[in-house]
Amino acid sequence: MIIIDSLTKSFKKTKAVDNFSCVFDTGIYGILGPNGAGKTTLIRCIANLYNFDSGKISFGETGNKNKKNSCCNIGYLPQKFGMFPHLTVYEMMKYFAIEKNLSEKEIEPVLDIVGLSNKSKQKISSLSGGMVRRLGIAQAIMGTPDVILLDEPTVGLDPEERIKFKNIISELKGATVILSTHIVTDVDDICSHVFVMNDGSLLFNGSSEDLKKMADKKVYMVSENEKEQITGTYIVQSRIENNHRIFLKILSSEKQTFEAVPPTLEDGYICCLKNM
Amino acid sequence: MSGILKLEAKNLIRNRAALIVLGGLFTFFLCDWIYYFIQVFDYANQLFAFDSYTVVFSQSQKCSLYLFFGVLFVSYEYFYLPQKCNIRETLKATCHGIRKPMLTKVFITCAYILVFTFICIIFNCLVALYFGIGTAQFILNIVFSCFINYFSCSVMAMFIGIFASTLHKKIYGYVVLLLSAILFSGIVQKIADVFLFSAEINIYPIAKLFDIFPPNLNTIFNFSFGLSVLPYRVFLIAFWISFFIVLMKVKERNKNGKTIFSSVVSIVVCFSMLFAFYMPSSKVIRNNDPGESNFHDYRYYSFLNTENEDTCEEFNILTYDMNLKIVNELIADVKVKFTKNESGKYIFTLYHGYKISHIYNCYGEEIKYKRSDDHIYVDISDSPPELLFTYKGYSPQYYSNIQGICLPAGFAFYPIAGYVDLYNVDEQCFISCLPNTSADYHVKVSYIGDVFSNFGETTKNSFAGESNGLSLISGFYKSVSVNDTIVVYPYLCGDYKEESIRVILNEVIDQDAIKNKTIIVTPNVNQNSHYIFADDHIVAHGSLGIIDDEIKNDEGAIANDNNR
Repeated sequence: MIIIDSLTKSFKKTKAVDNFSCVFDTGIYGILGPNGAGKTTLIRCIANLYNFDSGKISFGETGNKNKKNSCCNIGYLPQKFGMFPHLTVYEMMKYFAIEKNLSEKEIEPVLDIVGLSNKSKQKISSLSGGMVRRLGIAQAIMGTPDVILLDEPTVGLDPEERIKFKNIISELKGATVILSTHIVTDVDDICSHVFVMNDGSLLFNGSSEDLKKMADKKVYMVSENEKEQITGTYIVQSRIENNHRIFLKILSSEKQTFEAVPPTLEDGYICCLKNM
Repeated sequence: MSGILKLEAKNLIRNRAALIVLGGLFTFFLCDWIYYFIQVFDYANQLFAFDSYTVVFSQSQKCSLYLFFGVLFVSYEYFYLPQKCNIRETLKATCHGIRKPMLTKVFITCAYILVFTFICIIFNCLVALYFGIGTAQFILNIVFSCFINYFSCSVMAMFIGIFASTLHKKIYGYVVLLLSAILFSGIVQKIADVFLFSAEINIYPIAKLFDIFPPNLNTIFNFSFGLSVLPYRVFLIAFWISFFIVLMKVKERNKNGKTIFSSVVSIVVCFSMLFAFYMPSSKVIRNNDPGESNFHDYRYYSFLNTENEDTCEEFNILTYDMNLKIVNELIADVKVKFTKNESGKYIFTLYHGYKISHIYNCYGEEIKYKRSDDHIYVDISDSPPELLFTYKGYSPQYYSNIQGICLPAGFAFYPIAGYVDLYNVDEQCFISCLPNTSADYHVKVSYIGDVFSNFGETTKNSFAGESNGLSLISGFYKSVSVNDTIVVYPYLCGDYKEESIRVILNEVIDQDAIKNKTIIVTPNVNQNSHYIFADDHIVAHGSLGIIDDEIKNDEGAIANDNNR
């Protein structure tokens, strides 16, 4: 369990995280937000990479604020993740094991989980981007930490790698997994609980379903020909082509004459961001 | 620790650029040393063999500059690697953080620097042993010199590389590296030489500002002094290491109490080392700076107005009681008893590099005095003719420091009676200022090494005797007794082996002239003046053999008496 109480972190005059409070229990949590929302800063505060201005972060029952010893139970995969190109996969994992005070025996199981056992003798420089990311997850989950922090883990991955990643994450049991991303579909597929941040503040804290419900009866599918019939302000979510006809999926807080369609998580996310 | 050590070592070894630089350096050193080895052995059969290994010792120290450059750039790439590979943040979030990998890298870097240092030590020791000068004293000198020039300077380069690797952009890092390479290379001195010799423009006052950048390889190998391992060089390197540590602490983002404390300690160490470096001290530097070494005195005395030579009633010094302490410079308490003259006014001569702190009369009262260049004017008509001079300082040529002493008789490193000119501008050398009359000397020297004197040793580094001059030397000296003559000689010089000294003394020099005398061979620091004849000893500057010619030459003997 992680308890965050009124956390504030500033960089010069900019408040990157502003009075953020929440509780993370066992499970997979998603933190959604646009670029600059403060997601990475929040993750880094939890990972003890920053001294924050005020507030408290408590791990389990110890109630440690900014204590280094709590970090030994944290697996962290940063947004920009790389490894030493001249080492082999096994050597690199051994490096991380030493850094985390873990035994070498922890290496093989995690390589199995991420599907890289057969690459253990290959140099890091010979791996693809997706494999490097998977190895990043491997080092994050090595030693079965209580807390796993993943910052934008699927950025740059092809669809196949992203599916593999989601499968690995969804099989993690017994840990608190915090996944920070701006890709809503990542959260939709694997997270039971979602937080939405913007400008350092927490806008939404609840389940995926609750977030979807924020866009309930606000999502409409409108034929492009009927665009002039839309009243009030609206946001075009997407353009869909179907049988040579173009449809606009719009978000509007004003009741429209068109039939509302069931909202997706992304719709709820946009509504939350736009305060609709 | 061994696990991460192996992995970090692999990181270094498998880095092609680092391997090329280090491998290239090693190959260069090997070829350079082999080349000089061949030169040494080639010279060994020739007449002036003693010259060959001076080149070897001096050159091998100068090569440390290349190791400095190599370590500078390899360290930057090595310590920048976590940032370059985007692994730094991941490591920071682990139990050990970035500290363990950093310390491991420091350890590995120091290890390969040590390898180069040891190879240089072994090379120099082999040369020393081959030429029969591999005494424990000189081997230690070689070891210290290599540790200063190779190890310490390269460790400093490592810290510069570490600091550069913490800079946000790679371009900034390279700017720091390039700037460091230029400033620490000593190129400013070379530029000053070019200006002086080609255009006779003296920019040494500006160049001197850059003395703050080590490794200060403008010291020469001297047979009596060896390789310079003076403390100021260590202080300077320590200053730069602590300076870059301070810069790294300032750059640290997450400051806590521990970081602030270590920053304060680093700053204190930094300034202490800088202060220690700039404290006055006797350095043995040989460069073309007109303000230093050989040229300093020439310039000083060239501009001195010596037309109005002061005089006073003649008096003679009867006894000297000296308490001398030599660490960075000479610190002296010299009690002088002398004959009384009617006026009560006396002039003493003491080289201007020694600054008087106080002069006391026999009652312990501080008296007023006037100091003008090398001369001290006192009026003690009220008290008996006895004074205690306390002074300290050094001469650029006649050095007195923790590594060696070269204070021969005839040089006014203690007060001499009367107004005496010390320097001949036309000849560009010091003139012997030996008086005609003898005095009783009681000398105690507080010094880390063994001191040789013309007087007999009563206890360790304490001497007593009667003569018209006192010589004190220390360094790489040995003494040998031949018939009734004691010769104190610099054993590093190939010209001076016991057998050759015996040959010269037995077969060459007139025995009566040197009987019961001590011959002290000092470094040839005073050009154009090769010898000093005191009552009980002879000081030979540089060469023993030349004494014979001068003994036979009566005019020469008279010309080298005191110049009054």
